[in-house]
Amino acid sequence: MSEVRYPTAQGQAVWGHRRAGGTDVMDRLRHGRITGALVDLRDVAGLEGLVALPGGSVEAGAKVTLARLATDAKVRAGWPGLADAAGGLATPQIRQVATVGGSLLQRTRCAWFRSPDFTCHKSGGSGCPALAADHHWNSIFGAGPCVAPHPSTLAVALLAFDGLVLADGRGTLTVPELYGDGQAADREHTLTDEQLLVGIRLPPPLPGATSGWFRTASRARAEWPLVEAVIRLVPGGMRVAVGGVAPVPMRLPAVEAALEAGEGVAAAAKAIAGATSNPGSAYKVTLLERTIATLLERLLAPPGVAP
Amino acid sequence: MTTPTTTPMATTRVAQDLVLELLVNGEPTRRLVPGHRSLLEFLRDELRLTGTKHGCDVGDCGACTVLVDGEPRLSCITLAADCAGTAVETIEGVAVGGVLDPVQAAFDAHVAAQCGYCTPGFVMTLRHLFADNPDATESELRTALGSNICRCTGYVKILTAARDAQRRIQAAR
Repeated sequence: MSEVRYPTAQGQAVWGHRRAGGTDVMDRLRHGRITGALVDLRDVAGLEGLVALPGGSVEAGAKVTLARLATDAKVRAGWPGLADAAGGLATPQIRQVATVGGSLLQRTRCAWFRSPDFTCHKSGGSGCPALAADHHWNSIFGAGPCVAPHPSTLAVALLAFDGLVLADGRGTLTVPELYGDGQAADREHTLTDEQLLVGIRLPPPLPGATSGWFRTASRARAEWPLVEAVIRLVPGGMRVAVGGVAPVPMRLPAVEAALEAGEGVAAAAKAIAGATSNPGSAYKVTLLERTIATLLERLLAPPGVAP
Repeated sequence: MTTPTTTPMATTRVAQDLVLELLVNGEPTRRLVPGHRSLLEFLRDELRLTGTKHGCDVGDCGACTVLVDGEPRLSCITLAADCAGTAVETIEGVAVGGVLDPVQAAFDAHVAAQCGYCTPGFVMTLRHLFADNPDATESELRTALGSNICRCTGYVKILTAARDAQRRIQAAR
């Protein structure tokens, strides 16, 4: 079966493996993780808008590319931490084709899940080879049956700005509502096959807020993060969202509270409360604290002073 | 993003094996291809244009870069079916009449290929960069090349060749 469907309306874009930029689906297709029809969203209308709404929000359609999101003047001005994340992940060519919808709903990048030579909870079997191998990518918070960290950098950024997800058939969701608690053995999000993610909404920027994105990775480009963070600093609205450490993008309320209390860079020490790891991923506990501290140093440095 | 109404699937265009018509290096090309076939597979296996390299297969390495309507695309993650009606340029289409283009000539002059496997991808990325932005800054040059990986780590000579290619292109204006 080698079928590709080209629906033109959102309501038709169901019953198959949805594809836009192909950065996730084509890999799984090649490795036999996908069989059956592809639903190519190329011709589906109404998913490409990137518009300012009255009141200061911005909505981006599911097919808006990460390159466009990263360079849009509205997004750069209002949500710089999100623009930096969208413009810094993967490679320039991937960002040219990868979309908002694909970035949020991509499947786990765990090598065992993607290998045709293994089965796991998420590939129709049971067990977790990554846990058995004590792999260095494994989560250090809230690991469920699957220990792979959530792959979406955009989701981390969206969480840091209290962004919303718009899904046909489901309504408006917060990021935690989209992903659940990460304990489902077989899936990364809570949308059903009939529900179509149509876009995101960024709430109005808070006056005086600064924000940024920082990741630690084993290669500057074309690599997945070991740990990454998007932080928004504004009194009464501190947000610290992190990726690479849990099955879902997560906030760190203890760090946020310490920032609200004026602790500054020292607030990073609160990041590791509750972290658990096997020896293979224990380094991530230290790395998480240092990643947050590094970003805080950058964001809190006086203007014109290099941290 | 208005709420859509559900439309019967019968109105959706479906392609299992489809007749693909496109221009490849200027040549009108018509082939029957399976719907799931990648542009990389189509170029290498159907057209035997093996200059485009099969590297990581997941879009990370850039070895499979070709130009689709003038834009760089990772052919391993691009569906051939999605290229219907486009003009695709591969490394085989770069030299005209046996004469190397400025990027190829600069790579040759500076021996900017070691094993050579990544070279077609680098050349296609640089062709697009200098066509789009002939006065690209060093920062823009390095950013553009962030899409291509050389496992021989021959980046110093690649950057030297890229800068020389840019001078050649600027001098010819």
